[in-house]
Amino acid sequence: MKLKFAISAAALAATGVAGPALSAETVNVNISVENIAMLEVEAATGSMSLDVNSPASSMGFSNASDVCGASNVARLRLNTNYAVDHLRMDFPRVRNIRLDGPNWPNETDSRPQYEWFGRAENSNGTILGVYPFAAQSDGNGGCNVGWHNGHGNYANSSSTNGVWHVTKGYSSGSPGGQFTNGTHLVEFGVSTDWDDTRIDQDVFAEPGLYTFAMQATIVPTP
Amino acid sequence: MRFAQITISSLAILAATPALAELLTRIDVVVEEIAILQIREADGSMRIDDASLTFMGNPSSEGSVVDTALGDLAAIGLLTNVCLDFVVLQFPRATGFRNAPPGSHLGTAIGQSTGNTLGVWPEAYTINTVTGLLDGTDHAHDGTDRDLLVRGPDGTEDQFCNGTHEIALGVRTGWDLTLQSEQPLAPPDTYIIPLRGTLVP
Repeated sequence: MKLKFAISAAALAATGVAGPALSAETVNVNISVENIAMLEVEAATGSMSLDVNSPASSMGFSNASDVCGASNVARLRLNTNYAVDHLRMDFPRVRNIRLDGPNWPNETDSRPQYEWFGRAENSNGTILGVYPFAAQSDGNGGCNVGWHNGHGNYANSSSTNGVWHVTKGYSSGSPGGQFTNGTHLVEFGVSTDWDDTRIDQDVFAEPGLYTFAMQATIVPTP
Repeated sequence: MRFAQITISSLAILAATPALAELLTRIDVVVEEIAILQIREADGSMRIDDASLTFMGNPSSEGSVVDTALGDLAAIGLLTNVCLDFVVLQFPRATGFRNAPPGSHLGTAIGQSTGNTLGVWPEAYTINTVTGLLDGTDHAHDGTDRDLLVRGPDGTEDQFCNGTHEIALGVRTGWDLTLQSEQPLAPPDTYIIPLRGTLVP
């Protein structure tokens, strides 16, 4: 009997409060955020027109500051939570484009910086050489514009594929740097001329629509 | 102690005068109101690997899972012999997050390496103890500066009655729920937020 009393007493002591016993427990939620970088196409297509008044054009821009935010450029948005070294741009390229010079139209340009062009083509297979450019706002009202230099450090002379590394703030006067945590807009266009044609084709590009495509790939910082 | 004294007296009488065996003895056992919480799964975990708002629980990439081995919800058990209105879920919180309604209070998960803050919306589900699946009602925090009150399976009060109940706990969040004073997108890291469930009499 003493044992029974002892058990009863212990139970009462454990529960001996006026209302429900106060009880609390803590759990943790662990959230693993991984490396994330993604490209979004904000404007899939850029456009330009070559006509009698402007047979040569850089998308109609006369000042670099006019490029950023223009309505006729293609536009990518990069969102990243880690350092991205650059965007690798792949595009079809071509050489043996006519050179403006004393032997025009029978001379091509073999200078390294002018040898290779981007390859725009119409539905008939007529080729127009183009120079792609990238534009990025500097955040202070300015616009950094950099052209692919036609050969540069990234050329592969045995390939018809052009490779171009676009860095943060890249311009023709600056190698640029990393894309850091946040959102970055990069805009693209081309410069070309109606006589930037292959030497084995007609001197002037026939009227029509020429298309030049680039593919962007995110390259992390090593 | 009143009943204990009575019982001892009765024993003494029985020993001295066995003929008077009809004397009554009584043992009073008082069961009081009892409600306790127990941890079922101490850690929940989730992975953010894209730009979308990610939910733990239902729906999620893992489905209605309460099993840390599968990397989803944490869980607590509630044992009670009375009806309770709700469980209070307490968590650290702050304001000033991007991509959240202005002025809203979000839970703060802290990056273990970077110290950065990731905003989260705590949420809870009751678990059907027969099927083991989550009940449909998502008890999500409303963004106010108040604790989350987890009510019964139907979202109404007075449903945690006599028996065992289980509650799954998690969050919803995305990489862009960051403080205005910190980097725009949550840097890679493991972010942790404690969720404390309390029964209040």
